[in-house]
Amino acid sequence: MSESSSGTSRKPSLILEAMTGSMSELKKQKAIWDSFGTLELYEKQKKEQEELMKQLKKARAKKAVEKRVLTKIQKKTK
Amino acid sequence: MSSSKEPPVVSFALLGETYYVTDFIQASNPHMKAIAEKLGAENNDDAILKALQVTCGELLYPINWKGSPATERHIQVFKWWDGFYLTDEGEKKYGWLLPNQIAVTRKGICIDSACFCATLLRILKVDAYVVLGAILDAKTKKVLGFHAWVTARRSDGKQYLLETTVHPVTPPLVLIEDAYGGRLKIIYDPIIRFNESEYAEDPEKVEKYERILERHIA
Repeated sequence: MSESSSGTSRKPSLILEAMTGSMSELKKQKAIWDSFGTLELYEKQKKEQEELMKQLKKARAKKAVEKRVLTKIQKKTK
Repeated sequence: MSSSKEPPVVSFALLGETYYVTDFIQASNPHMKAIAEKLGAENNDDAILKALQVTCGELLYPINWKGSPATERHIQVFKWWDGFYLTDEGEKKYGWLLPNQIAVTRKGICIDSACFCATLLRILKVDAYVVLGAILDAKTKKVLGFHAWVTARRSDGKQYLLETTVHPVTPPLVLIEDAYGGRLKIIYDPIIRFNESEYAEDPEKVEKYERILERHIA
């Protein structure tokens, strides 16, 4: 049993810092979800996120094309 | 586990401010008290079940589009006349959130959901702790990463592990003997435990795992 009697607080330990998701967070988390039989839910969520990202990229690309066309038209009219 | 009067500090909270680790169990916070009251728990065991249900059912684990834990944060406070912010934390690694902040964001990684659940349990007078430890592969005994979970004592006198990062389904309670003894696919290896008034750590395990972490950082 170790007891600290100093008035100053102890430094944060590396174990506490390891809770900030720095070391193998996904690997560990996937093992936990697999252990509780919920890895499928994670895979589903991941697919949904990927799909949303694809849609966002498409929308951004479309907007960029529209902007280029608009700039061309503006230059021509000048 | 050896107990200490002076708990360690956490200097990586949301804005980089400092807390004692025990401050992350907000047993007298009005926001958390209101959530605990709403649970309508009839007894100790009902409180354990309902606290886990609300933690797993109402919170989400933050995942980005690549399927990785979205642990980055960006805090801006005090917008100035030129549009810039006087306090801009930029994109930094994860900062621990307080349980009442989790109640607002409704998202959090292991430490956040564990502190949220343990806070509800402590308000409802359940003998409960947040436990910080390592997750090992049950077959290879290899360290997979570091994790936070909750332990709570039911009326049968036995302690159970509450896994608070499984959403939205509520996982079953696991006897700590089973979780720590490798009867699951993974082994939960406890290192530190705390609630709002107690802090204890296993000095040998702290040393062992800190050595692993130092190697990882180096």
